[in-house]
Amino acid sequence: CVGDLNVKPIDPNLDTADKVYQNEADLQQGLAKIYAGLAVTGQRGPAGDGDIDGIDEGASSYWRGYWMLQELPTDEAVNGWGDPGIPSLNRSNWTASNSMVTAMYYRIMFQVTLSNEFIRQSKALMQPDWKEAPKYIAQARALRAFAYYNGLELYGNIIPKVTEEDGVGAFLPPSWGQLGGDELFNYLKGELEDIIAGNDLAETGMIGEVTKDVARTLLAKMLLNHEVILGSKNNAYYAEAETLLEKVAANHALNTEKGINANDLKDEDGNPIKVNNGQDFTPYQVLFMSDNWMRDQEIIFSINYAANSTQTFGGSTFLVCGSVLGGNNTMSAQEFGVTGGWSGNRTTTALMSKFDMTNDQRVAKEQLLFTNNRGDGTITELSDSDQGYGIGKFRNMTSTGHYASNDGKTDRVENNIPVYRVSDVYLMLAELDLRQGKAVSAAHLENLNKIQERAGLSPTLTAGNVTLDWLLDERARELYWEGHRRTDLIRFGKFTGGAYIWPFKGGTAQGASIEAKYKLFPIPSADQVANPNLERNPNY
Amino acid sequence: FAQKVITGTVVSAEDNEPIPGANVLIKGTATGTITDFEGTFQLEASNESTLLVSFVGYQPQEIKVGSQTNIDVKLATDVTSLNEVVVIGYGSAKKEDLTGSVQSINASDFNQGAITSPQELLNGKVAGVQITTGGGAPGAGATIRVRGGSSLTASNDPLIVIDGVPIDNGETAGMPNPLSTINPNDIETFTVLKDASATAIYGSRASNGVILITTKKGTKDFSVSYTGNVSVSTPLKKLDVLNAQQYQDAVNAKYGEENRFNAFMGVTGPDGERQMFDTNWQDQIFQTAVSTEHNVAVGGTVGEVLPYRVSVGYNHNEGILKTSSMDRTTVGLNLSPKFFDDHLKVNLNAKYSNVQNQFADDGAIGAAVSFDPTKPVMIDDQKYGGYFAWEDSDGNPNVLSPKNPLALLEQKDNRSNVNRLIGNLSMDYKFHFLPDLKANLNLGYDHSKSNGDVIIDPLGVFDVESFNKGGFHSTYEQEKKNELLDFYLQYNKDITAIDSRIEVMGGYSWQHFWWETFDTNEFADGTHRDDKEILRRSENYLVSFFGRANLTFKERLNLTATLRNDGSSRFSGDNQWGLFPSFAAAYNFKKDGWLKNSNLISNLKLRAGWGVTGQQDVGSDYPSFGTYSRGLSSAQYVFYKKDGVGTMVPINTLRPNAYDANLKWETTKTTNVGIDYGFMDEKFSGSLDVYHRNTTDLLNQIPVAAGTNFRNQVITNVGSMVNKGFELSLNYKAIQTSDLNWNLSFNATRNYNEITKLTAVDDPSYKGVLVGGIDGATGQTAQIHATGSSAFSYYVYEQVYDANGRPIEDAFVDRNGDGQINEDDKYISDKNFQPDWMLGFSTNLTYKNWDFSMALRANLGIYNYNNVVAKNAKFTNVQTGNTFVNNLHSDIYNTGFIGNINEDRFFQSDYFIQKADFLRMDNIMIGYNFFNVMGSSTNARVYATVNNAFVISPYDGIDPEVFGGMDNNFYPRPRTYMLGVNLTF
Repeated sequence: CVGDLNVKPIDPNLDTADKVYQNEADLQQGLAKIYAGLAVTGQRGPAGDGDIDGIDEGASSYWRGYWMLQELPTDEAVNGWGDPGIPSLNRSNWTASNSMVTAMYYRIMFQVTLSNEFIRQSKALMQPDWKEAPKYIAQARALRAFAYYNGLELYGNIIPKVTEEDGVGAFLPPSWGQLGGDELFNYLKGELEDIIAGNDLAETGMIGEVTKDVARTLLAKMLLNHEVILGSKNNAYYAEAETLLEKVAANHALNTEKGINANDLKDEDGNPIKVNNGQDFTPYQVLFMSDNWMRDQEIIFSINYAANSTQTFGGSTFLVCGSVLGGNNTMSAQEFGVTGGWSGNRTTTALMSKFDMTNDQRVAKEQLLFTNNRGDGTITELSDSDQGYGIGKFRNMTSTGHYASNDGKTDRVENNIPVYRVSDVYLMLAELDLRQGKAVSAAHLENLNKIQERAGLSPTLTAGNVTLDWLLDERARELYWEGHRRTDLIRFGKFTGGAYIWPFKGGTAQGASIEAKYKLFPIPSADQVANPNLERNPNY
Repeated sequence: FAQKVITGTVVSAEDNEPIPGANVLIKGTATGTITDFEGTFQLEASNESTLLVSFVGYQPQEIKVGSQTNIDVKLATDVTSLNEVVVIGYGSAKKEDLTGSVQSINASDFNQGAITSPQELLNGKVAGVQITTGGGAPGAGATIRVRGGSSLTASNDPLIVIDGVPIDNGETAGMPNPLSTINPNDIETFTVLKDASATAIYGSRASNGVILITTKKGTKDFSVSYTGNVSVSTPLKKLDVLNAQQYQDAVNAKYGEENRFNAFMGVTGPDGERQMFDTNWQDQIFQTAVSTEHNVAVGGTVGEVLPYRVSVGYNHNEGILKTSSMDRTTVGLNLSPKFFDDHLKVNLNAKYSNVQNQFADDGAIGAAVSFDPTKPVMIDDQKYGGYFAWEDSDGNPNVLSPKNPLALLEQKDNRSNVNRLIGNLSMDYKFHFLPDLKANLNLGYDHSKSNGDVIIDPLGVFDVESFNKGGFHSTYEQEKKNELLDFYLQYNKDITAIDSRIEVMGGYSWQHFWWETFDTNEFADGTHRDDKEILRRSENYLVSFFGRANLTFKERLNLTATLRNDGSSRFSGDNQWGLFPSFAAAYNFKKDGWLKNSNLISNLKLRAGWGVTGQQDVGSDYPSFGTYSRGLSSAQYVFYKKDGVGTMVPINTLRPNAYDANLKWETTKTTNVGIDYGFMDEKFSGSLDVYHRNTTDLLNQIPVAAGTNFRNQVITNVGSMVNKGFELSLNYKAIQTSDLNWNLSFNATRNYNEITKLTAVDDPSYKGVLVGGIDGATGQTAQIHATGSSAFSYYVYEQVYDANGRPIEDAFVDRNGDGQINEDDKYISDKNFQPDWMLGFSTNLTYKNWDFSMALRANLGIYNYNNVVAKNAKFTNVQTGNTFVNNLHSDIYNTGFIGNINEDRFFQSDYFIQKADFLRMDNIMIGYNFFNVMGSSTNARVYATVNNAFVISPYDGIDPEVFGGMDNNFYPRPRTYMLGVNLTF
């Protein structure tokens, strides 16, 4: 009877590591969890068995958290919810106990820990006839680098250093190094260069899979931002980034195919609903709709969703529901393919003023930008979602104007989130020319004009037009609400200080200068408390 | 003197059962008689003589004969009787031989009135035991803490043993309080083992005390008893929220008459005009509840060899929150035959219960606080079943708005049906060839099966997905098994040569806990929330060896040593087994020469004990080795094929679970010193205990260093904690005459709790473990476990007040003086929800046929976090989305808080930490007894009680007594009036 004490799990959904990884299909399920960590929040959708403790599960979503940290402190977006952590992101007065800053930190480190475990177990259990396993390991390394890079840009070089060499359990990892140090940067550079040079990562794959182009774009982004990360400039990094991105650009192209608005939706009284103001969906719009898997020539990497299989209150559900505004009849939930608008995300006059509001298709009124009954877009009260303009960039409908597989009955969104797009690559290439002290090359200029043309603007840019300031504004116009803005503003020196002011920067409706410390988020106090080995961010 | 014939009956005051064999003596003579089987007697005496009536276990009584010829005597049980036999772990002992801190409570001392679960019988009666019911819901759970609670994250519940079977007191589906499957009327005694010398025999489960429950057994004579009652419950208090006029005035005063919120108030009438209502939502959701209870018990002995007791009970308990109720049917059977000249004693117990719960959605309580008072409850439009509901600008159901509180109750049907059988067969055999040696075998089985249904009305728009899909139905089933085998040998020997008695006991125990759950869910359109069916299963084992030795020397010195070796399947490798020893000694001075003849001191015993106990209940059955969980089909990852049609490739996920390979027992070392005292022939009696408990290797869910495990919070052994304090109990027999008996009892407990260590290495910069999640501020906390402070101390910013004592919003004291307000300015308050003092007072008085009793309880030095105020008393609460408005709590008048300056800090103000000391009248009872109605052996009693008659407290919330201190959404405890009758035949 003493032998009874040596139990093995009897739950059909629970097993030990040696049992679950019997073959490569099992291994793929472990890898799928690392991908799923970007998309959903736990083992039960939309919530119920979350990965992260101490936060509302929906708010622990990777892309919901990343989006909030990258967009809310900038000129592109505000969110009027009173949920802890959100108002102080809008007002740039967050602290080390900010709930969103904390949740995103743990989500990133969860991704790193999952990847470490997967790499460790796969290597240990590897069989000679497992042909897919090395590819899975390479993908896991790339996904780890993705999470680590987000950690580096949000929190700096002081995040914990853990790799597959470390075990599981009670130990206290050190920081990678001091603030501004190059340890994590060099580690990620080495990792990414290694998997790009190796044979395990594929050049192409299924939509959503990490390919070499994803790794190249990721590495190029880090190299482009090296001056912010390391504190000093090294032209060799820019040159390497350019080489990488040239390769990515060669494999991809802008989407120029428009959608057809063949919707036949009816309201309760049987009257037709005029989705998208009755217009067809533009080639720009269809990049952010529920069948955007079709746009893989442009979308290099996406976080994927299917309405029923990847249920969450984060991710693209947040991007659609969270942006549909109720109130003054400006945006209708059913025209966005969901049951409810959460009246959260809005934009400010700072973003709108960058557009040619008459011609630029990227902010077509009442299709992408919602202004009806909303005055001039000025916000005086953050919590009043009737103030500011609505953004309907993400729409849970197919590019033919039909509901996604949620049938419009639930708040389950099917849009894949474009993480890297080729127009970003085009813009980065032009920027790299300028940062290396060159004029924008003819080929890179041609790319920019393609973006202009697709936006409905005349493709008449010349090298003289393309300055760094223009590029920063053009990045806002082309990539707004896609999670790039904070990094961009920092790289162009406009995020902190008083050189550029936008509404609610620094907490006031008009905007005010903010301290340089806000370029990085603090290591959350919860982990400072748990791990005394970590370097502190001395500014918080 | 002239002699006359006197007849009479002697009955027990407790239950009016006749007492056969009682001594009836004419005082000062050797003349007397004993009562017969019906408890009656007859003897000759003079008018001037006095009868002395006595029986073991009862307080003797003197009656002047006078002119009476028929004298009925009621004997009160003698609770402090030193000869009382007390159940202890694996055996029993005479109270005077006890060496540990053990307190036994008999039926006559139980709390009275509207009692539905066994815990309530005990509340306030035992020093050092804190019982907090989870609220006023029928069958609500209760938290029991013996001497504080030795753990931070692991279970702090005491081990509960019913008739020798340690029961599974964990969560049971469809049954918030597993113990309420036991009918309180079947319980004979509770024995609370408090110190380690008493509990260590239960080893790894004994750190938080042990409560032994013994159920009633068969009587020698045939008897039938009936008890029945009807009760009415009403809410004691409601929260002070604004009414419609106050609400509009407050919003207008704040934002001007032309504010953007006005448009949302009221409803549009048929002519397009705005109609304002004044709905008190709390009045809508609460009701006056009527409950009834009936119990019949039949006892007797078949052929003088088979004592039996059969009881049947039925309880219909209605809650004051509409749609909440519990119906319980219980059947109890006890057979206690003896064979072979009493060499073999068999005891068979079976307790079956069926409980049918209807649960109210207690989200309605929070919704009633915040729902707009200018709205009607019902509207003419039937699209949502007639209930008012918020819509969005398209006229579709509003996903984010508060839900109509009454609709939440009436359009959701949540029922459970729970069957539980607890049975055991114990056989105690005294060897024929060696009567000093006994063998005891106890086989126990605790089985429960529950199922439940949650059905959402097709028009129930509070669940928008369900509404859009025509309704929702989910089911759950759970089966739990707990199997026990105990075997021990016991050797008792009087060694007259050294005037000593020894008892040695050794045994083995095996216990297996197993559960399985099966859940389904389906919308009316055939789709599912996630997997259609989910099956889960788990188990754990405990294997133990234990022994005890007692030595009694010259009837005055008692020595006890126990040892238990426990193995738990929850741990692995070297950590699987734990050893738990204890030693104790007691010396009875009364048996010594110098006190033997004292008239003042009737009892004086000194006890001292030391022991080690453990805790292994960490919740999970597999916390110490790596496991992977499969994700459900609703949380897959999906790739799309590049095949032109975007074929989805959904992949299930495997998530590694967090674990600590080195997880081991939490260990508590307890030292206890106590005195049992009695003065003036036990007129005053009681005990005083002083204890010190040091828990090391605390099982604690703490944020672990990011990157080192698969969750950010993991259960691990870290730190140590001390509980120390004292307990005093005092009983006073104020008056004892034939007509009037008056007893008072009082107990007081003072506990000090301090965390002494929280990290493996000493780190002064380590602040502690953040706990006490705040509702409405997800991810934020108000409490901390920190070294040098009590567990669950509040950890908050210090609010700044203006000259008028009004809090200034977002103004906090810069405690570290660095010119800015940040995390470093939070301080650890010396306030927490754990009381400094717990006081219990009860009294009972009998006068002729009348009886009266009451029980009062006070907790001092407790503080709650008023989460209701923090969430609802701020102007940003008026509108949290632009399609609806919310009501305000009246505390807005005291603060004027807006709540939008810095929400990172707003909720963590010490303004919300509020004093919650209370004095509660738990019950008052008055009863009248009719003897010998309808023939000689029929007694009747009628009584009336008020439970929870009043609460005196400075606290503004709905009830000051909230376990954990975070006061939110609390189902208030009702005041209950009851009328009852007891009949014995």
